[in-house]
Amino acid sequence: MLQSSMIKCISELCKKETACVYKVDREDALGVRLLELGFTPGTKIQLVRRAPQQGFIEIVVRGSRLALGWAEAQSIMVYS
Amino acid sequence: MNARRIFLVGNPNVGKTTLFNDLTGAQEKVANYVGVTHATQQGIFSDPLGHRATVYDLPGTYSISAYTPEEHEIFDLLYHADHQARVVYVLDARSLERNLFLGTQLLELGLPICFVICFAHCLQKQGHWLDVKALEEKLQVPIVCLSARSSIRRRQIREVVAQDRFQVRKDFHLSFPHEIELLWDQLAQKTGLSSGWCGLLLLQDPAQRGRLTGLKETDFAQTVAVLDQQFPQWKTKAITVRYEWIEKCVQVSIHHSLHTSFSWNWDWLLLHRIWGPIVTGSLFFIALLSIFAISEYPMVAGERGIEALQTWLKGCLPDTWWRALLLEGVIGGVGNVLLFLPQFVLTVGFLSVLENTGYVVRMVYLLDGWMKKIGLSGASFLSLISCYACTIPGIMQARCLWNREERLTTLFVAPWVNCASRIPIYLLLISLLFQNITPCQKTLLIFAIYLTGLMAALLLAAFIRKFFLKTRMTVSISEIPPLIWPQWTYVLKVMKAQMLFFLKKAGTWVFAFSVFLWLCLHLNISASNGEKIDCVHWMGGKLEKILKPIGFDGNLGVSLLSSFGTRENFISTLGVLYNVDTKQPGCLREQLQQAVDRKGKPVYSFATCISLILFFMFSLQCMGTFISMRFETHSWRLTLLQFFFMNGFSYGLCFIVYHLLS
Repeated sequence: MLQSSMIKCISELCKKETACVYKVDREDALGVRLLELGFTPGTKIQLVRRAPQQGFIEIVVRGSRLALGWAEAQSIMVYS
Repeated sequence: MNARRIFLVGNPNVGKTTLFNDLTGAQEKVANYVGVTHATQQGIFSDPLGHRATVYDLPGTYSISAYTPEEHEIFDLLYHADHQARVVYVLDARSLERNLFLGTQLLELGLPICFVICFAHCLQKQGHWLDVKALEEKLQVPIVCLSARSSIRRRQIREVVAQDRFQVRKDFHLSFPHEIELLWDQLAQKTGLSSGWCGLLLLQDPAQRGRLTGLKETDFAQTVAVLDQQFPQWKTKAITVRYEWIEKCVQVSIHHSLHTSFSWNWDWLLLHRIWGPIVTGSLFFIALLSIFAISEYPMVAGERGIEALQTWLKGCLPDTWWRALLLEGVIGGVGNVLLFLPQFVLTVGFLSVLENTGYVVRMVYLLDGWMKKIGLSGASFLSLISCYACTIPGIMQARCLWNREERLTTLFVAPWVNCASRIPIYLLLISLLFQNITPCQKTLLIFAIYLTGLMAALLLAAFIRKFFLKTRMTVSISEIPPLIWPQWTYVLKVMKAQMLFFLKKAGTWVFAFSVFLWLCLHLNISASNGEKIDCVHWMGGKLEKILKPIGFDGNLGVSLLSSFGTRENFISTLGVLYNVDTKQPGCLREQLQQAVDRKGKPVYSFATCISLILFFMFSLQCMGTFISMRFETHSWRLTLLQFFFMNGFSYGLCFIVYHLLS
């Protein structure tokens, strides 16, 4: 069982850090869309870089490079 | 019509439009970023053997459960697909796993389908290998791996359609948890849809579901309530099952790694928080500088050419009314517009290169954070950037904005971003302001005008978002496609198309209007004080009363009015007016410099020129923009509000600036 201290938000990852998706913490259509983009529990992801001013966060998920807005990235919980 | 209908479906930026162009011979815009196609395009496929089909180029989507307005369109087409419908599912080999997600949904719908894989050669460069046979075995539908060579690719995709290589995968079944499936089946019985469709529809936003399907929401709501109660994580489960199946597919056909590819190495510079903006700024400056420096030569040559042509024709043609019409109306009007062709074409070419390489996405990436602060997103910045070429495609681009308020705000401020057809006017005015200006100084001024326009648009957007269209922050998910070298043939094609567009406009609208104006200039009417006056100057006199406070005379008034049709008319109208007035051959620049008013003062004083530049920056006087605004917002109120606000604002601004300067 995962300890809650190990779970963090995707935006808290460091540059180049790899982690696994714990869950998408959103029930609405956007939550569904994030899951559909491949952020299903257990998926390995890597944070590539962040844009300035809480802008895009660039993530490699399932072999493709996605840029998520800060607010969207907040709803993806990960563990390492 | 019982012709086959081919739908090109796929994730954003996988190259659907390229294939559409291959199939139909159309020349739709392609670029290296997400969301280039905003509306479904239709075209006809036909080959010498007599095969015919209607091809639909759909906007890109990640899933059938529609989220954005464009995705609703796709949903609608697939939902109402009949037995004549065929799906070409286009995949990007570089992100096969995510691309297959929509693929499995399409397989479930039971439509005749063919998978077409693009960019397999890029995958090889990254050190991976795609086993098409293994994937075909797993998917049990035809797969075509497209070549990188455009001629081969074109033949391959045309063969797929001509030979009708589509198959229905009948027994496709993903093993969702039994209890969930049971509920889907029950719903399927109630609604009369297939179980697959029900599963997809349940994930759909409830607000849209009823509208899209025309079915009663109660049945769905009941099922969702039961699912929520019994399986709190059912949405995650329904999607995870799909990916689990895809992972198995990919395992047998491809190996993934987090390796970096060639283009990523550039990104440390282009996406750097300090270097990125510096590189972008310098790139724009150098590009504009070279555009103006290069086009200076043909422009000066053109000016001399027009003068020489007019002198020559004056010598060899008899002194008749049609000679005057030809010299003053046609050459004076259309000729002066054609001078600006090189700038226009080169600017459009530069913007096309930026889009083609994927550079624009990098600008969006860098600016998204800043844009969020004023209530917009990187995506709305992208549509504002598109306005630099022409406002109308920029406005269309805003369709990819998911948030209504953000979209309306972007549409509202878009005309303040200076489009390429305003460049000739600025160049003319700058050359009147500062004689003997170097290309470098000229570029700096144009650059300043560009920046001011953009900043003003952003400020206005911030203001609107703060006080009028307040909503929660907008959603932004984007992809960063690898940088590629510009496809020069495509860029040249765009430039050629734009050149023809410009020439066509000059040959039709500008030509017709110049002749009309010339005729009006020779049509005398009686003014109120009994004097004979031609209708243009009569109208100019009326307009002058309104425009005097901002420093414009009657001639400028008429030119501004005519520029409402197309902006190029501004220059052609001035050309005709001054050619008729002076009766002397000469270039417009010099004629304007020498123009004096009744008191003997120069018409184009410093204050007037500045006021004119400001007027063009901030007013909305482009019929095309006005009409597209009405079309895109579906609201006369907003369109008219924008029209009166922008013109009122620019009038007020010009009034203040003119009086401060004179």
